[in-house]
Amino acid sequence: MGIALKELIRRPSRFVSVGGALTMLVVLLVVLGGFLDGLALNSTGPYRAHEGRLLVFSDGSELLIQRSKVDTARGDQLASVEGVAAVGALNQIASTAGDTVDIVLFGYDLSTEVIPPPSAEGGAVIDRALADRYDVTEGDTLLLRATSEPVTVSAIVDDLSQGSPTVWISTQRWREIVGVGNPAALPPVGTDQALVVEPAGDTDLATLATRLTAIDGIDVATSDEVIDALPVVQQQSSTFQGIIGVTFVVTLMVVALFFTLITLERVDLYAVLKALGARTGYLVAGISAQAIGVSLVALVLGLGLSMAFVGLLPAELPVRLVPGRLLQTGVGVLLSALIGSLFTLRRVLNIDPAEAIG
Amino acid sequence: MKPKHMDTNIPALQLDKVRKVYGTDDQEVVALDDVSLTVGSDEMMLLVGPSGSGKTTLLTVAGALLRPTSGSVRVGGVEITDLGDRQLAEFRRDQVGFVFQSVNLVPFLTARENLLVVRQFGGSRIDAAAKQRADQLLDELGLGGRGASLPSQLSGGQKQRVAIGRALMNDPSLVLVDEPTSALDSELGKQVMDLLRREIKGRGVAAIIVTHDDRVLEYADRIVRIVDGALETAADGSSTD
Repeated sequence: MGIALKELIRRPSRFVSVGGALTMLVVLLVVLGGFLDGLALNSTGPYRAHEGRLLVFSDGSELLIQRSKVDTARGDQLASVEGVAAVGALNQIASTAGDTVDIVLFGYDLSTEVIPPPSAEGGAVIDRALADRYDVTEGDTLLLRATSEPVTVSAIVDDLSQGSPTVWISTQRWREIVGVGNPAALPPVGTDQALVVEPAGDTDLATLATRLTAIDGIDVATSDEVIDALPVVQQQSSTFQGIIGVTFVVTLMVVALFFTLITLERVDLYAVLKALGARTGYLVAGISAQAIGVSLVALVLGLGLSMAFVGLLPAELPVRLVPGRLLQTGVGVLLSALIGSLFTLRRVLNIDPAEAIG
Repeated sequence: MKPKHMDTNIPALQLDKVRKVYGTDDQEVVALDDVSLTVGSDEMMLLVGPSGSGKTTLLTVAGALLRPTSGSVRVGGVEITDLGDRQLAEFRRDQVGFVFQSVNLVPFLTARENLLVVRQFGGSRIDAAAKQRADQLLDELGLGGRGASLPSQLSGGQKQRVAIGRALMNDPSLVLVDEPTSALDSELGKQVMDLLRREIKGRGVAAIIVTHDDRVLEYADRIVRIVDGALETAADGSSTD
């Protein structure tokens, strides 16, 4: 392996072609992953803001809030279960009318670690995306169509988008506004689209969910489960995962092809090394070390280029470089390189040390 | 320095009725035809013969690079015909030194690293003793100042000397040399043969040198001629066995 690494260091020009190809593939993987995470995160802010809570939907709604309708009475039933600290309503309505700004309007009762408590004076918590995009600051007044209901911005919170920016007001104010602007969309009195359950103290969320599931007519889920059930997330995820998977296969094939060709070039050298006592495993380990080494350099370069590229993209594009995804990409590239390099095993195995003489 | 296991009573190489056949049935080519040969523990033997006579095949069989079709091959008293590939690789690394016709140094390693590389194959750490031995060999070969040079920075004669050093690095009991002077002019060829003889005899190692070059015959303890895969009695009348 030491010989292989010395070749890598002393003859870097031999590896420029595969290193360049791998760097471009890393850029592709990072940017694709960035789009996947950006789209997913930009579609799920309200649910991620409820991490550590349980969300309750009506049975058969497939965890989709717009399909759900839960009796308010269920709230009292849920509140009486051991381990429940509080239960509150959660309702939403999307606004996409005319030349107004598209938003999703949420009505809520319970604060979370992300969302402050609803304002008693009818104030609104807004998504920072809305504030940044339209230069909105605390104290500004928003007019909510179709009846231009005024709400005053009381707080601005990061990362609350659900495709569009979101605006959060108290359930009571939400009912007033929706009742005036779009009465057909207003859940009947005594019902809400969903309920939020806040666990008491150190209550284990999974245990509490099991207890609550015993109640008829409802589906109980964590925020992650709700996110996974969103059709838009499922579709985006499967599409991007497919493209990313194919890119990893291409990465593997590039490494396999390059090192197979370089092994053909090295037949004489490997025959000599085998004649001198090198085993096939030693030589293949050297090839794998070179593949890993080139991949590491490509990862560093590719990551740098990706960050520069993402920095140049318009702010509206939903690209987010998430550390977990970057780590996954790095491990995936290294694994692909390792597997690709092992394609040379058969060729190295077939090199006859006797070829070193004559 | 004597080779690590050498007992002077044990021949460095014993071939007993070794036969090597290539191909099958009507396409059969007999490369070695019942060859029996003994090389003493500190003997320098020259193997001569026309092209296609079986010199290279004999060298590869003696060097544990090729298994004979039949017969027995013992190197330093060890029967190697029954060894597996892995054991053969280890055996070559520890017991046999090779100097190839085209030198075949690793092009991206320095002269010193080309000597040390054979130690790495066994998974051994390149310790201070190994480095000291490599430096000592390079000094003895007149390359004391060229240890850090890459093969591309060395002359043909210097490369040949590095290859000789590599062959001796692991204290082998048998050194196999293939056409050492074929690519060198008369003066360089003489220098290399002087050096080979000095190193081989000085270390009490056995060597088989394959050559077409009549100028090097004077360096041999014994000359063995091979024709059509069979050994002949040498010109000086000595037995081939």
